[in-house]
Amino acid sequence: MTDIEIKTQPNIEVMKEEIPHLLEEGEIGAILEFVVTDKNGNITEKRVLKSESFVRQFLELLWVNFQNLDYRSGRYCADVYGGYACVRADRRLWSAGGGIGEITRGILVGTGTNVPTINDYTIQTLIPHGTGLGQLQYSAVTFGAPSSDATTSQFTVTRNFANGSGAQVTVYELTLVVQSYADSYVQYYHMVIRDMIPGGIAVPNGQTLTVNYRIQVTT
Amino acid sequence: MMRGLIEIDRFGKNGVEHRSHLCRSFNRNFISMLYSAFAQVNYTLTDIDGISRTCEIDRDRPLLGVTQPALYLPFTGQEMLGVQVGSSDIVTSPLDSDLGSRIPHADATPETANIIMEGVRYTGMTSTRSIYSAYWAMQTLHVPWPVNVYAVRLYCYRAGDLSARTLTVSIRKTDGSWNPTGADLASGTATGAQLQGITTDTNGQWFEVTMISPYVLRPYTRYCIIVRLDGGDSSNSLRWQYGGSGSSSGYRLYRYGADCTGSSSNSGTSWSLSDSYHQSQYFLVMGRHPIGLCHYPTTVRTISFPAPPPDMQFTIERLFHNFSGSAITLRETGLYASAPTSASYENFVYLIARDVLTAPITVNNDELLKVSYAVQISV
Repeated sequence: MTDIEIKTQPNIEVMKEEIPHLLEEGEIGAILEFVVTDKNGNITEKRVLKSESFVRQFLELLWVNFQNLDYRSGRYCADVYGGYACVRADRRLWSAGGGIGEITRGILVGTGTNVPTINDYTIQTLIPHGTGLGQLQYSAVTFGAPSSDATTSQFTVTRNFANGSGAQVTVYELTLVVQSYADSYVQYYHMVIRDMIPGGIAVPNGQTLTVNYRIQVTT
Repeated sequence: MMRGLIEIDRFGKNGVEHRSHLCRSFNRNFISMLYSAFAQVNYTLTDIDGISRTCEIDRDRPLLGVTQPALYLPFTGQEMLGVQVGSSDIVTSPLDSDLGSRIPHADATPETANIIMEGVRYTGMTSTRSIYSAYWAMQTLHVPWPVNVYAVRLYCYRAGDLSARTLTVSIRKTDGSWNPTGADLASGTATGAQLQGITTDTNGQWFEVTMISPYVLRPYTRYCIIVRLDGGDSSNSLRWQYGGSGSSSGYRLYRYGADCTGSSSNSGTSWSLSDSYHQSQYFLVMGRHPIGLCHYPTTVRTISFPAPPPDMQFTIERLFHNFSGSAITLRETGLYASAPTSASYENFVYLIARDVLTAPITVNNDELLKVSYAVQISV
């Protein structure tokens, strides 16, 4: 096992960078950016690509939200465990702020290689939080505030995954999971984005993977 | 990936005209509301009046309501949410906070003469504000439906000689703190000869000032009436009556965030507001229903799974009926959504999408128009 600590406060100054323009005109989508850095902070790999796969829960939550439906009239929506929750438009709907080591919401990573489908509701093979073999240390999820240029507006969801497992871990799938409430005290988790990266992202031992999902709209 | 598609159907006497084009313009407000929800943080947005409001994450009051607000939408109805249309073709921007020129709700042909559209007068004890020189007075107001204001009546009396004076009555918007802001949206004046006709009886009377050009007031927006005189002194002034203080019978129009009276001693540079629930200057807004389109409720259709692509979609749609008696040309569409602020238990309205049509569409009298936003996902 390597002595590596997760960054609990990912550097979100990245928001000062130029807004990526990969979406087509009129698209509402996400840009997926991932960066692998060594223990000295040197970038060993960086890729920016269009996230391809909003899944049905995203549209279903938006549908509930637009109508401000309560739990009596909300929509049954698949949660990450394969059950169904009657989602209501609660103020906590969409909450994605997973804490350190929390693998129920926020950005999650896995090793599944199935091509995403509209009906995917959970990550195929989750990489657990930890320092054991095949595990990554999940930081807290952080957010970059909205910004815009002449055509594009975005905000960013960020999470770091530090590899202290003693061996390389290859990430093939990335998901974004948000929270909902079916009534005042019962919370559910819904996967709203799932991307599969052909070839995977190699995270050598001692290095950290930073994943940015930039949710964008274009004008 | 997600997309929006705008579909427009015009139901005329000669059949249906259908158009469809990509929605290009979900904007920064939409992204900001999602950000606020994802991160569970308060965030400042610009509402359709151009006022910065803090969108607050608060229990049971979610944001992004396009068919109904979570709780309380002040002084307006569902017409100010959901699908909207307008007549401007100004190029869209991610920072657009409102349509270029929104077409108001109207369910009838405009009247041919002015009627009382809004106003306040109590019959109990009254007080007066003296208006002269740098001493101005104001009263905020909302209208419950769109009003084309032609004139404003003040309940007042005259003190002394106003034969050399000019009275100006104008309407402005207010800012987030209810102070008057911006230029006059409409104004009218009364000359000395007219002012001398105002009673000196302290019981007062209605005095009407006609606006130079009519102006359409819309629900949701908090306006104010400003009254000023170009000189005079305390003995030669207009006395505008107000009242209702301390009397529950005076509770007139508004709950939370009731409208307020105000005065300025420096020609409107700064204002002293009195926001008692039960006080109002006495005024009547005289006008007519504007030319507009009847806004039927916005509805969100159920989720469907058409043969891909797209894999999945729902539509947000609204019917508009032209009862105005004349043709109306549309050049833009938009979506309004509500978001809460816990400070005043109010929801405010934000533009979350705006599109300029590739070609204008004219809706003739008695024609029906359906505007649909299809929100789609393709994997």
